[in-house]
Amino acid sequence: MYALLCALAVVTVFPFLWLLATALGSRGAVFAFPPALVPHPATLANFAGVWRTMPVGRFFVNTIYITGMGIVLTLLVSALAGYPLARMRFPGRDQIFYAIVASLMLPQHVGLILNFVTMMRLHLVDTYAAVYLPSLASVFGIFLLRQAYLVVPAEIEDAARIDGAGELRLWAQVMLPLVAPALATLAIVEFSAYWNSFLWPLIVLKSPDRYPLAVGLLYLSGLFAHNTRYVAAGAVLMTVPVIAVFVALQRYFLRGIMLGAVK
Amino acid sequence: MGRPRVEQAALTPGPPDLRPRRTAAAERPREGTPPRSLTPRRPDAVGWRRGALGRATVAYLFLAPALVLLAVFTFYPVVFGTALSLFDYNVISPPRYVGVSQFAALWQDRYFWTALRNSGVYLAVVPALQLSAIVLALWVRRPLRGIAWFRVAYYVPVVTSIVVVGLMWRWLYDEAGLLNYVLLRLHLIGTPIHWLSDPGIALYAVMLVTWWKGLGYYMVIYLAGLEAIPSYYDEAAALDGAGPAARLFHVTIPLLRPSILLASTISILAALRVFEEVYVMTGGGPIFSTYTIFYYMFDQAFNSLHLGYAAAIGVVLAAITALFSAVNFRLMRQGGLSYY
Amino acid sequence: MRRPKASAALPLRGRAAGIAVLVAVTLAAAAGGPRYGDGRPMAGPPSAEAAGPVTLEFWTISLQPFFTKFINGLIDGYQRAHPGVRIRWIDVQPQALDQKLLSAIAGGVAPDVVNLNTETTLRLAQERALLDMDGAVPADARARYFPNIWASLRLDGRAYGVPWYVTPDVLAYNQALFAKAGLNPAHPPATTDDLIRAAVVVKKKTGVYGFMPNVDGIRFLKVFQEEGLPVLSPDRRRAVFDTPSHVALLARYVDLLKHDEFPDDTLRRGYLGATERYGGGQLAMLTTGPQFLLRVRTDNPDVYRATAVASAPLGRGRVLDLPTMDLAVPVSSRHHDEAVAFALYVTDDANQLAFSKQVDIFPSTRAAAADSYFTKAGTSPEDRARVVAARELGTAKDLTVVVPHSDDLYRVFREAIESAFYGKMNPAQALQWAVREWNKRL
Repeated sequence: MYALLCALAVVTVFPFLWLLATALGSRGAVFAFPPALVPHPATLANFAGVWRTMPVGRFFVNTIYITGMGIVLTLLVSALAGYPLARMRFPGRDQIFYAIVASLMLPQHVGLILNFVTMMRLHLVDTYAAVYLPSLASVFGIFLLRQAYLVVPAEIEDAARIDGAGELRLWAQVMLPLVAPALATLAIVEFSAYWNSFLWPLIVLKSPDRYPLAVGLLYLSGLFAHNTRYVAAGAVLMTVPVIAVFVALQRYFLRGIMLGAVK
Repeated sequence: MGRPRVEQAALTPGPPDLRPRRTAAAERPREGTPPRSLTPRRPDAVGWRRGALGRATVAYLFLAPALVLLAVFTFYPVVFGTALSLFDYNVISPPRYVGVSQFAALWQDRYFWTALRNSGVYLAVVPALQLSAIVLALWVRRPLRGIAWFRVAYYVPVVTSIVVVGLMWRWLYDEAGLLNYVLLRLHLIGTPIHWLSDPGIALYAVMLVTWWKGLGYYMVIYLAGLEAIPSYYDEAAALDGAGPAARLFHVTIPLLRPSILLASTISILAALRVFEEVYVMTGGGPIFSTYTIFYYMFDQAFNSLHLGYAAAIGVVLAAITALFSAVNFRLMRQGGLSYY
Repeated sequence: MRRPKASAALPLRGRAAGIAVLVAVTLAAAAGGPRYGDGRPMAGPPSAEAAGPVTLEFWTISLQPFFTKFINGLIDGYQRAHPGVRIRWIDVQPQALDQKLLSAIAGGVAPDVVNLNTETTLRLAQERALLDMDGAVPADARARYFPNIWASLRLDGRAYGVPWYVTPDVLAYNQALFAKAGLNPAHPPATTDDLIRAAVVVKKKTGVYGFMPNVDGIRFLKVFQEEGLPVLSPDRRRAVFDTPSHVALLARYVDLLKHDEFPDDTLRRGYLGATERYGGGQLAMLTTGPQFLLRVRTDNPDVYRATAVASAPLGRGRVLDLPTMDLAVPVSSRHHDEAVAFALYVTDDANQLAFSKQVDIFPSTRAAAADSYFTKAGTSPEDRARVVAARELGTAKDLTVVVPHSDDLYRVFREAIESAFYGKMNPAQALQWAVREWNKRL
């Protein structure tokens, strides 16, 4: 059993180790045969090179800001929208829910251009807000939160109402803590989405000092298409934070996903 | 009161439900279902304090941020994009109404059919992914030491940027890359395989990456689904002398239908929209063997400036997606368990 | 675009589709309809006509970070001389140029001056997106440029860009590998026939690939021309690349691939793969734009030390391809005059000469190319190669094939060439099929 599990773990994790080995390798052929699995001499020169080539620190700060704002606001919007969809009865509820779900089916290919035009009209081009604004209303998030609210027992709600809690207080003080696992799940999913998005930021941002890391990686992969090691170093810089956050929060995450997934 | 009472919620893991009108918990004959009194009541029994109008106002206030954002950044582009299929539009000149002529042109377009065929092949990734994810979920469900770390290991590809994944696999797939090296050393192949350069293989090589990146995601969905299945079905089948394979196909998979429906629908949508893997690894080649329908749409929109034509492709893609989702839904539901 | 793909779905229930259609129709009536009705393009408000400093947005392709200082110097110089004009420089990645440019045009905020290659210039010119430079640039200014280079930016007799720098290929070769293969490093191949012969020898003697020919994508269109074979009939109404000579040329390269004389990722990765392989010491000869040698120099000093540079081997047509970068002004720019003036400044003699000295590229103006930097042969191979290439500037031309519906035709051509290389069709079938498809649309 362990052998099988380990074999599969090798398949899923090994490419990352190889990426790291490539990034740590010194100059010279990447595709030497046989491939050098343990780089030697190992060097941080490629990371230093990437660091010199572009303002990695600045990109980091930008990415953290965009990702942070994106997550917080996405959680807020989803937590607000999921609540009435799960626990209130009002005209239009089902239609709204279906429309939200159905929007996933339809083509969005011109979204890039149309959203840019919208940002123009809102005078938001080249701002951080323009980067995260279009992703804030996450269909997945609304769905996930709705599922989470659905399982909250009515007794809790009734008791709060008898206590005289208003709708907003009920939501903020009673419901929200109960759906925390779902929020944590959404946070992780959105973290990797915001952290990894590159095409839209590239289009809507003009000043390089506002670029996130993913755009920097694209830059690198174009600029150094002939230098695998630099690109690998950039990819490592880009990936390590995501994996770190995931490993740190994985407990919530797996629980949250399970909560949302069962139908 | 008024303070959150988390401990009480923890006692009642009632299953959530997609259906807005009915609450599922009361209908599902499940082992270990909490007493009826603890399950959620019908949501409409809740707002007894206010009038219908007041309730609706509150509900819409809660929904307002999401609806405004969706209207502006999702519905508007979707609707605009759909309508655009009837126009000749290149961004630079005003759109010109051309009726359904672009759909007629699609019918004649060999690259459209090539892309359609490739996307059709790509769908094979769906059953492969689902089956392996189910098996994997069964494995990692066991209470083995350190099993949490295995789950993490399987999930790591899911959270990684597709750009990074594409780069990594391009290097792995290189003629002198690691994959060929390992296979050569194990004497599984005699000469290096041209993973991304052989028109007969490239599409499958790209599909393998989709499988690799998606496995952990679906594993988690099935883990969740398995939690809901009482273990005695499996035990009973084992007592009756059913082997592992028979139990998988005759007991576990039928019981997992709800999760399979969810996961396979997600997977079908993703497979029909595959783009990034192709973009990063093959650019549609060789000989358009990895040219997928979504890739073609992108190509027409941004490289050829035929936005209207791309929209027409998008409409066809949406129709196909809806069709496959519907078929999948029927298939999974048919002969399914009574409570689904 | 942004969300994780995996999160992108839920099962669509029976009624949902119907409702979706309803919602779509309603929203279409509310939001989409009127926009089409009045037939206006989706341009922003044409405001900002006010006096005061004019800000020009200037886009370049991939000049950061290597040339940040140089471009900023150019901009500073211009702003000092023209206090009423501010330049906002944005460097774009080639992978994202199309999307970014189209979005900007759709948003009514097109850049005022944008750096494009010939192919993109002509593609946008076909859609009437660019300013006619034959009209906008005075004759005396036009006369500064090599007429052949200026003409390569023409579509239907009008030019749509001001030529900037050109990057004719040079041949870089690894002298150590040459010696190992028993070839004389002092006599690099001068013709494509020599090149192929040398490559075969290198492969046989050293086991390392000799070369990676530029045959990926649509570059075989250039190979035809370099070997003196026409792509189009003189009236440009018919494709003619299916003659026995064309077939024989393609068959020759197909054979080379079949005998593993060049690696098969040549077709997938093109010159980038070639540069990487060369930089890793795994390729003996590299035919590429000279600016890429700079990267070999910084990334792989060992290989660079063993490298000699010669002028690119010529085919039987004895023409040298001159890939040209130009500066175009989108029609939707609100400052045509200022934009053209700035484009002329960036591409003037002094600035082009200065740029050429930054990196091995070549100027598109005659006076800059007449500078001693390009005429006096030094001792180094680079110097000699530079002088040889500079001599060609007046006669060579950008071999980009200009055809209507270029994207559709290119797609067909690419399929034909790849089909031949991968053995799906024989070269004759492939070219005949492509010519048939082209002639349907020309």
